[in-house]
Amino acid sequence: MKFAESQIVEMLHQNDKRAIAIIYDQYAPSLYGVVFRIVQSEEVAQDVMQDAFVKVWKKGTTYNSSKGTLFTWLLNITRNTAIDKLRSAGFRNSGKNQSIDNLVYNKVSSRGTNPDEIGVKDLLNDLDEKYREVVDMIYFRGFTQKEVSEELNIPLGTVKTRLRIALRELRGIFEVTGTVVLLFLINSILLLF
Amino acid sequence: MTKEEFIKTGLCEQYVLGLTTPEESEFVEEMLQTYPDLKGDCRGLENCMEKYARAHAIPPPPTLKKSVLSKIDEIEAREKAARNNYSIPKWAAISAAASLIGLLFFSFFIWEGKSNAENEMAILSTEFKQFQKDCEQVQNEKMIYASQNSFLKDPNTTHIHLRGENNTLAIAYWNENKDKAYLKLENLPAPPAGKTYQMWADIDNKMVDMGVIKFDDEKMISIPHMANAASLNITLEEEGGSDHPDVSQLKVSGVI
Repeated sequence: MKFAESQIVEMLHQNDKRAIAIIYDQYAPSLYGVVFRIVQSEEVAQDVMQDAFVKVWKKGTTYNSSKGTLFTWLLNITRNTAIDKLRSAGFRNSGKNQSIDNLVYNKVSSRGTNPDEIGVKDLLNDLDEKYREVVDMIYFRGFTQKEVSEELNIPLGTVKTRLRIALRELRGIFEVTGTVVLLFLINSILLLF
Repeated sequence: MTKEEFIKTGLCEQYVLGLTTPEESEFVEEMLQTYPDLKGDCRGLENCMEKYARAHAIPPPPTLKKSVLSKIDEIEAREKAARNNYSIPKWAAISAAASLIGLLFFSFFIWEGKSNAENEMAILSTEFKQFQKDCEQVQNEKMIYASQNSFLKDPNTTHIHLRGENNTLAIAYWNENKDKAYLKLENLPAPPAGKTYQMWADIDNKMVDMGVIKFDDEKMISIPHMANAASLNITLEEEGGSDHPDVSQLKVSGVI
């Protein structure tokens, strides 16, 4: 059963523990994807997920929907927990130069990814590598913009610009995807008749 | 800052990625309030990043959900236990504190009362001892006066007037039956320094020493009763008394 974001938020605000199970069902794979890419260890990723969900449970009543979506809030908690874990453990830079795709698909290919998203993944390949790189380093590996600038040896301003363009591009891609899926659904329905 | 300028800063993208400082986040939130269409824009970026994450989702191990939920249950149970064990209701804490303060005050008053009582007791005890002493003295004096009174009222007690120059007078109370006598110095002056009165009885024309008279013109002075005395005489002698009377210093005398 899928819950609307507003219903989940209301449960969180009322300290209703059912909210945690629902959030887990709806968001855990997306969050785990980010965490796993940052910490690069299944064991550590599971620890981070546990700690992050405890924080979500404890901070649940303070979430303010006017400041951002529930997913952004969840992701910030989870990402920060992962980055803290990484820094405290001191294995921050291991595999820094590995490609994201190699890293992820080598290690978890057996489990596979969400089949619904495969089409989207193909579309993401359309995004220029130089933009995608910046987004992935920040989003999936816990880099700060300054660290990206140092790592790629490009000015901080350029990192900011690339990030901005990347997000705009991504938005375009997802909006197109939405339209494509809608058209596909309409076609399917029409074909039935 | 205009909407276009704000979009160019890229703060919205950084905000969505959680890269803004708290001050920057506040600024972004302010801008979103001012330009509601920016808010839609920002939300669009957020949804976009959510989809991006979804596109890169990895199914976590199936056991993770259970361990996440049981960890939360465990923490909740531990906190609940801690609250039950260690939290004292406010009213109980207040009443305990009040009782303690009350007890301290009470103890102080009791202690103060006790030390006051002890002081008073000591004073009373001293006063009582003094009073007892006075009482004994009065008792003794009463007995003395009673015996002197009965002695004086005794028909066998004779009053012997010893007279001297300038109407000086001493009276001896003489009781042959009781073999007892008293002397009262009526108006004899106090002896000069270094001198003392001494009493003598004339027995067979000899002056027999009756002892030194300690000067006291208020009380009856006990003197020995001398059988066969013909007269009683008081002379002024050197301090300590003499073996033989200095007749030139005879102050008063009376015939029995």
